[in-house]
Amino acid sequence: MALAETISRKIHKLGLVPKLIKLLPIVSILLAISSISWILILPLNGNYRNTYISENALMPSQVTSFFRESEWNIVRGYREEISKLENQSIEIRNNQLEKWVNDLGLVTAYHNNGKFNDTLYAIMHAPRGDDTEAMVLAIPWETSDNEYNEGGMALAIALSRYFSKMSIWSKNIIIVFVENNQFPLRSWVEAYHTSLEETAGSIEAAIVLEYGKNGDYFDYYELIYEGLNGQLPNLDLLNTVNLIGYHEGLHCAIQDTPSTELVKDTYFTRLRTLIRGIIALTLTGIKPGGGCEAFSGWQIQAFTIKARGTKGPHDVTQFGRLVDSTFRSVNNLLEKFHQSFFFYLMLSKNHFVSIGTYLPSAVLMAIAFTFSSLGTILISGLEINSFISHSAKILTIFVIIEIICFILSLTLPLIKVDISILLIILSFIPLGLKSSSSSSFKLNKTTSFGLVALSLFFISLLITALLIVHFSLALLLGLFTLPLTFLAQPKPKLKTIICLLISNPFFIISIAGQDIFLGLVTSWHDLQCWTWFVVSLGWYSAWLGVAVGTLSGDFTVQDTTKKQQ
Amino acid sequence: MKIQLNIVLVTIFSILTVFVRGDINVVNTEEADHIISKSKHTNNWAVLVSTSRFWFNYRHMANVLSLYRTVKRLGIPDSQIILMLSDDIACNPRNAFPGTVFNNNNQAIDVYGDEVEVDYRGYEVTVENFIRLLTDRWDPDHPRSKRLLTDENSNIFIYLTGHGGNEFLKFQDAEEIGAYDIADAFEQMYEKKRYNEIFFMIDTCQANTMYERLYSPNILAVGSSKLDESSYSHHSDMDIGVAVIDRFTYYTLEFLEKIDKDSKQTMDKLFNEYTYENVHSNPGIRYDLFNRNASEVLLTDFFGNVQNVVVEDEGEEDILYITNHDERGKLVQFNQEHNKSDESYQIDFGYEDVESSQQITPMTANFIRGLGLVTGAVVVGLWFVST
Repeated sequence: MALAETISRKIHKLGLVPKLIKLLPIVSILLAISSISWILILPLNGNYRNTYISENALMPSQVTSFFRESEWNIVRGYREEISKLENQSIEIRNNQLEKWVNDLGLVTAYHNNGKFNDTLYAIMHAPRGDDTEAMVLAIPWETSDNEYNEGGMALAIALSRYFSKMSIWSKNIIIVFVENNQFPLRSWVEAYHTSLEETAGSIEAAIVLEYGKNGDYFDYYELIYEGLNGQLPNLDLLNTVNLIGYHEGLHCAIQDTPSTELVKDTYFTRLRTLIRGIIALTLTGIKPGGGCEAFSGWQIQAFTIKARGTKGPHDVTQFGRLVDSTFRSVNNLLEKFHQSFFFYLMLSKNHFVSIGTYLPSAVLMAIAFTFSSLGTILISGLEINSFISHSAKILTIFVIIEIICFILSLTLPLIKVDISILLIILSFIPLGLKSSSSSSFKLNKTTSFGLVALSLFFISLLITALLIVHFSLALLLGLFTLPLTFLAQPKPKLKTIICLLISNPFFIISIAGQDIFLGLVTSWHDLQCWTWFVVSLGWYSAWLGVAVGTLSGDFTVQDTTKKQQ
Repeated sequence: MKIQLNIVLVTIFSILTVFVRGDINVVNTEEADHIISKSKHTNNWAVLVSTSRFWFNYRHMANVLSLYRTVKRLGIPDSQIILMLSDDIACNPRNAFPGTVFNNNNQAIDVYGDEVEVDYRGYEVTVENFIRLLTDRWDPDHPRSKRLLTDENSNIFIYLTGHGGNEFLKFQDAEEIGAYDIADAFEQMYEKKRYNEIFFMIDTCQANTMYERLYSPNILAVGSSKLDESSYSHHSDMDIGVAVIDRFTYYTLEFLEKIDKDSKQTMDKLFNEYTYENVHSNPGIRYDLFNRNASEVLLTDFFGNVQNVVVEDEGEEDILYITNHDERGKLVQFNQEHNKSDESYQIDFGYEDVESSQQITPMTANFIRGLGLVTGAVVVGLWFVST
């Protein structure tokens, strides 16, 4: 006790408490800076790890793939026929494909998604398997680069033919021929788990295959792996395909690595991959992606592979072997993927940081907001008791804001007006609160400080809640709303307006582009991606809270140190 | 009449053949000393266990089936082999060659073969069953074919393979057996006089930790790797898509393939194969519980069955003693050159090798040959007459 007492006396004598309170905004900014620096030091040597296969059963590259030159002719034949179908309707294309796969002995069925053309899918029941698990090979008619996916289709048919000759399958194989890899694919996956009659057991892994008009040769393959809502495929699956690719002598690009830097491994390439990965994961479902995100949410590990280049040293059968060997590995599994990481950030195809290493970054960000919220209350110069007596009022205002945001979140996807006008209204109108606010509408000092503090604390809670399930979104949310913490000091009004403007979600979205907004508002309905609700109910409501508090209330800071002494 | 005569003739012929041919298996007593084991056991048993399941553990199944094949080849009958394995490999849908298990990528030997008798399969491979097997504590209605019916004259070869760690061995992803459990089970076996000698071989990661807790006498133990060390597979079969055999077992088998039932190879020769270069880990051998030197232990003491029977002259009431000694207990001299210091005698039915055999009536070799020829001529004559 004596020690604690001595320390407390000392603190009181030196007047540390007011000094610390004064330092709170700086501490908050320092925490935010350290959060960003944490991300920046991850690509340094020693902070990341090399990938490895964790699941013993996978045994990638331990089996000879016979999808070689003899199958090349078959791929060529099918491609020739498929290229003739390019100008036909999807219905005619599907009929032709159905005939081919039926000849191979596969069961076929259609899925009607009510919006696009029907999706054809074929099931190869494993001849000696127990018919309870499946692997999916999905091939969109149109690649994500809007190219006719003739190579991918030809490969898929040739692979089906090759697979159906083998007796070693323990899992069923489903081949999905889908119009494109966005809504139609998602709709099929959803229907597979809810309404489809022809099914083949729970899907363990899925590959989306894109091989456009690259011809017989390609340079390298691109791997896309982000899922919806921060979900990622088990790292073992990515390692499996990358190891197989390595043994085939193929180069791999992740996160849009330029073709000239595929083998480059420096701090900056790793940092670039890391940052692009964070942004890509945040935007998955909002921006058209690789298609693998369509499988998110049903414990399906999925990735997309795309062939890049047309000259390269590698031939089309190697791309097929990538699929074949991966399926052979997945086929060896006895349990669901569970050994390796589900939460990770890739730095290159064979370097990664796991959740334990990167998580402190978002934690620091959340603490920065908590400190800022605390600082807002403490530097107001008001008694704590007055906040308690006004708590009902503060909460009522915040709930009203939340309700407004809730109505917005439901109605905005339905409104069909010019989006740019809508965005401007949502960004600027609240800023006009200041000028229009009458005396009857004006909040008193306690309410306005309380509302700002509550909103900042709300952001802190939001980051904390998101940081495990969707780290990328949590981190970016923290970064974008960071200017809101600068308001907690006496500032010129212009600065307040600028800070509010640049942290407004709709302002940022309108800068990022209308497609992002459209993707955002439709992503819940189309893909069950809940980023829209985080933005509208979390980010925008907190922003409104801060805006109302600062602009239509008495948000002036007195010299608190003098008063307390 | 004719048939009866033929039977008589055949019988006479066969008797004659024995006389005329002589005994090719004659060994002198010095050689007999080497052949006949110093182990003093009278029967051999083998307990072969693969403790893992699942397709990717193909090699463990191949390990144990290869040793099963080897001990069977070297003479231990199926009734004296207890084979425990999950048995989920041969008919696994992932097996490109259904119904087979190979132990080499040359696919020369299908070790699953036609005559594999599995005693405990699938979920019967448990720690409890293993301990019960060793200590022979079963329900009264437990089938005898699934019991280890050993006695104080039994030599037991125990082979375990699977995934191990520091002082434990995993049984089928569900449970573990500890080094102390095995040590205590062996002690019970010793107290219940269930063995003469045990050769304990284990091929797992950190295998040596499994035998370090043993404390019962007459146990020779080898393990494939020391503490904190992994044991590795030898090679994969790219057609089957799995590793097919472990290094330690591979080199054991490679050596055992070169010996046959009558081999006089000793254990130390096998142990010489266990180098770091071969196994890629540090195999361990534990001698301190065993009171013979590895160079005196025949491989067939454990991997084979008892083939050579020797009657020693220590007992005074046995028939050999009575025929070899007169009433005063003095050794009867049949030949001057006979080695008096012989510890044992080979029973011999040959007529030529007088130095280590005795004859009931004194006849020379030529006389017997002559008699044989005359009898033969008479028989042939009779046969002609009868037809």
